[in-house]
Amino acid sequence: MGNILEVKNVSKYFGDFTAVKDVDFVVEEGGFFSILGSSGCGKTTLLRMIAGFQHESEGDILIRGKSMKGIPPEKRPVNIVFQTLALFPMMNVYENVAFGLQRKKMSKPEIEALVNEMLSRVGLNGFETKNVTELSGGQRQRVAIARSLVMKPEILLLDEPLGALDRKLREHMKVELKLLQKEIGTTFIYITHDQSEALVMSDKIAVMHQGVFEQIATPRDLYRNPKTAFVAGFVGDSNRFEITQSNAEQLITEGGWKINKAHEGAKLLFIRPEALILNPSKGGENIETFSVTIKTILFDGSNTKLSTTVDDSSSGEELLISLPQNAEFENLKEGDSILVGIHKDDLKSY
Amino acid sequence: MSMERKGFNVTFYLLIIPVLLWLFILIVLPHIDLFVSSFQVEADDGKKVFSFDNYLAFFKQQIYWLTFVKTAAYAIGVTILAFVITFPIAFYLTKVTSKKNASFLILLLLIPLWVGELVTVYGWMVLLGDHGIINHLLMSVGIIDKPMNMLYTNFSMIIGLLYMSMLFMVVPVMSTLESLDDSLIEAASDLGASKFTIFRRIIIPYAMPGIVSGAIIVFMLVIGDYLAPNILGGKSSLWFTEQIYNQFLQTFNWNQGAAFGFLLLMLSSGIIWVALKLSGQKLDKVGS
Repeated sequence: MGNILEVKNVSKYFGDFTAVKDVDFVVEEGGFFSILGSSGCGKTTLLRMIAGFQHESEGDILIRGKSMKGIPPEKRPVNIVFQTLALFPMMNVYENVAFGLQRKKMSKPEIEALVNEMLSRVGLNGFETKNVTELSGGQRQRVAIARSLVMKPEILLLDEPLGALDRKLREHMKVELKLLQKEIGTTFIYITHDQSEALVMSDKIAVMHQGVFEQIATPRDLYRNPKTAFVAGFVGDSNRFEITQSNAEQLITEGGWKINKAHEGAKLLFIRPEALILNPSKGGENIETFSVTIKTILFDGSNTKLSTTVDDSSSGEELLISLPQNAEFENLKEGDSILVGIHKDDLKSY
Repeated sequence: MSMERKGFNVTFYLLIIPVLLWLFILIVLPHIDLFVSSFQVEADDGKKVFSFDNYLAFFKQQIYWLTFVKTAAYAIGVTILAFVITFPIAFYLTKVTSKKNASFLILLLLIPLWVGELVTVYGWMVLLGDHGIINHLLMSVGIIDKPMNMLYTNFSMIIGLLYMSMLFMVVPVMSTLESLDDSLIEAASDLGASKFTIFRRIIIPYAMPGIVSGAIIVFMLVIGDYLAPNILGGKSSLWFTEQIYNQFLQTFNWNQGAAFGFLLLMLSSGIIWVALKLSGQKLDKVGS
């Protein structure tokens, strides 16, 4: 399938401040594309430029190959779901969803058929005459999405729409959104600061930091092969070590821990807690082994971690290790020394 | 727990008593007295007797109810004009200009209130008179060759009424517009709405409680005003308050004046009730 959206070297300046800097990417038709970044990284500005509420200082945005320069928001084939949802409080559910269709000067029966179809798709049959202020958070969410989707946009832009929901509902809506997107096939561009939302839902994720795209990749790729130190630290949990020396065979950390990995000039090393293997079977060629001492056990059900210190490190550098909850490791306790292994490919140095 | 509750009650009553006294002595008592006297007429022997004559006089004498109809019509007109003039101002102050500019501009809006109505009314006389500033300017530029008759007309009266009441429309409308989330406007525009549609379908309905409460205040102020119609309106603009004034202080028929006072209260309340029904607003929502 072709590219529905092309963002070409777009920059946005507010006075001296650069909100978005030379961002360049394409989104495939029918894809679920997420832009992941902490608040203030420029992701909302980027989304608003695609929607037409802000204008790029440099570069161009093309939808289906057509430049959007000078085209106002109401004329662009995109719709946006706002962070605040922006449901019209003076209208009921039906009127909210029908609002955009009425602007297209469609006939009443046509509008009614489309609105009813969309409401049943998001599971809101029978809510037509309810006021939007009477709905629960999840229902309001669905009205906002229905109101945009009923317009049959080429691209649906979503600005952290799950931000206001409580955790349980958010988990639920994540799955629901993903399924909805698969079903209707509209291209979604989703911005969020929550990496779990991005990882679960997206086909492609762009990690944004200080106005720049650090990496664009599939969720799996992003997690397994972070391209920059920022991505390695931002996506997923990681143990972070400062590398002070490196030679053709080894990396040496601040605390003098020597790791057998060749990467001259490396400055940082990231190790994921879940990449570490406890009591590895000896002899694996690509497995680096070392011993650690357990400082404390941070029990959190399936997410339990061991807080340990690396024995080879003179300053006692800390290492978090995921602890599988099975009988094998039940007897571990504070002060125990334990052998740990890691596959060389899981040592990410930058 | 019960002690705290009691303590709260004592404080509550201590605080509310001055208000209740104020209301009772200055508002309720005189009104009861006026209400009673509005149902009395002086009999031939000088004794007061119960009668509906004072109220019936309003309907029997054409001049009285015509004055009221005219007053009410002008008050409604001034209210609508006040809305039309001030809504863009309120919108500009809350949604367009920066917060810093807005507070300065609001201060400017408040200045006429500091001066007092009588002074501003005389100010308009200076501006609008036959030898006033506006006529003088227009004549010296050569647009007109003899003075326009502006003062002591319905026009000058409307200007005066508008000027004293406009601010009471701006403030409640601003407070509703302030809570209007900008993303509602953006969402409407995203869904293909033109500026006019956004205004008609989103902004006006959202501001409706503020508009209605502003309209009630303006309407009440205008219909009960005495200075502007009396001074700026001149002989041709008879206001219902002037009828009341005449009854009390020119013919010394206090009973008739009291009846007119209550008629003004009831009829204007009735108009507001109808307006609330028509706009689909509830008084408690408008008041908040």
